[in-house]
Amino acid sequence: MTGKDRVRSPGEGSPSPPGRGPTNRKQPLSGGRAGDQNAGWVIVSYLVTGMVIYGGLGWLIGHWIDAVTAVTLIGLLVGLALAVALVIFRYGRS
Amino acid sequence: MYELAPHLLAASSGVTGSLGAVAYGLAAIGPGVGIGLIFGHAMEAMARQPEAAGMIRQNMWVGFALAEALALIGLVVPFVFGK
Amino acid sequence: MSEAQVTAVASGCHLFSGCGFPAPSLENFQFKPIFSIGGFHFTKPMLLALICAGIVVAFFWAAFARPKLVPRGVQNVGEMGVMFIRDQILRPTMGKRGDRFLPFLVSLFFFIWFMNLMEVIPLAQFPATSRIAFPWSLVAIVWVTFMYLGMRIQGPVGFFVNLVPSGVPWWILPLLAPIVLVSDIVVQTFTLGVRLFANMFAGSLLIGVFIAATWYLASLSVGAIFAAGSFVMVILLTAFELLIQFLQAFIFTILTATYIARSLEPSH
Repeated sequence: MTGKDRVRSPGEGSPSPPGRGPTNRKQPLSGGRAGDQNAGWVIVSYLVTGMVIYGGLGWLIGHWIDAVTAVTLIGLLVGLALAVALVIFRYGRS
Repeated sequence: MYELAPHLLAASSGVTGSLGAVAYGLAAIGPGVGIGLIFGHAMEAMARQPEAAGMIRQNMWVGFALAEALALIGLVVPFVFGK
Repeated sequence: MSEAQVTAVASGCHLFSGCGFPAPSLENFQFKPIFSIGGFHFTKPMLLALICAGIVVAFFWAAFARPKLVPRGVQNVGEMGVMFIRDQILRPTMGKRGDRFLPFLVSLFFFIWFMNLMEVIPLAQFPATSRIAFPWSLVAIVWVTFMYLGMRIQGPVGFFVNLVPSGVPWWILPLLAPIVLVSDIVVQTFTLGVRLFANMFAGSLLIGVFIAATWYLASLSVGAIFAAGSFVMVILLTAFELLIQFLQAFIFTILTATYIARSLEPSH
């Protein structure tokens, strides 16, 4: 039995064919989920956007009701919670 | 009384400047350590058991989002509470 | 440099000669125009950007004007550059169908990298990308590209619908949809430009601080050891900046490729 015929355990991938190295490496295509290469940047962007949108909304409402600090803070926290929920939906399920 | 805090600090030791900057610096310690732990342990787990890498990576991103949330709150609070 | 700084340095402003530390600041990033036409001022960053564009065009023209099957000389180096972009940036994000974007990505990467490199080249010593207009112009090109592509391939409404992740309960969807839309369309493009700008700005400011400190601390006594330490920092930071310049160009290009890939094929 040659080397490439041996039984493989489930953890191993298939052998890559000989040739140019980098094109064979199994990289996730963009649009994947947890294997995404720039998931970190996307997550930070979601968190910041959530805080900005709902914090801004909170600031507007607080400006109306004349309780700017408290309502802005609530808006920021709500925005953060929603953004974390979004991250869980997008990256935490399979 | 809380608005006296910067002046108390300045009066006692001659330190002047923005208290918000100090606040963010202190607030960034915790999430920094936390994120380092998350990614470090995730890498170790993925090295020990490569076939579980997908599941580990999913949980890693969730944990990272939660730790980063605290850092971002720390960034924003000086602006919300500052004068 | 501002007038006050030039005077300070030229007059031998050192630690104990009674002048403050001439720290580099935002003034160092504003240049007197080389020439002006009416209200349009032509400054050094513009000159550097034009030179970099010329270098990129000249280099790839020289490499691929008369391509041979077995590459020689400049074509070798040009091929190394193109293969690097194709194998490290294009193929992992877009696969084979993205090959038509290779010229765009190659130009983008090398233009940004050469503009960043101007920070360490003598006589220039200013990264054109540390003026925010240059990164943001490139980001505008990228933004128009991926918005137009997305709306053409997925339909004007379908593009936005596909951005929102599936599997979200219907009652929370209207709260999360604005976050996703604003994040993917506005915030990510904004941070794309600001990341490049901030890295280059901070890096050149940091090197400037230590260079000014080397001169400021220089003295003929034992204090020269501080100046020597500052000079060592300059060398270390320059090496670090070389890495950061390449890395920031790489990150800009790979995120551009990711956004274009997201327009070509919706992420579920």
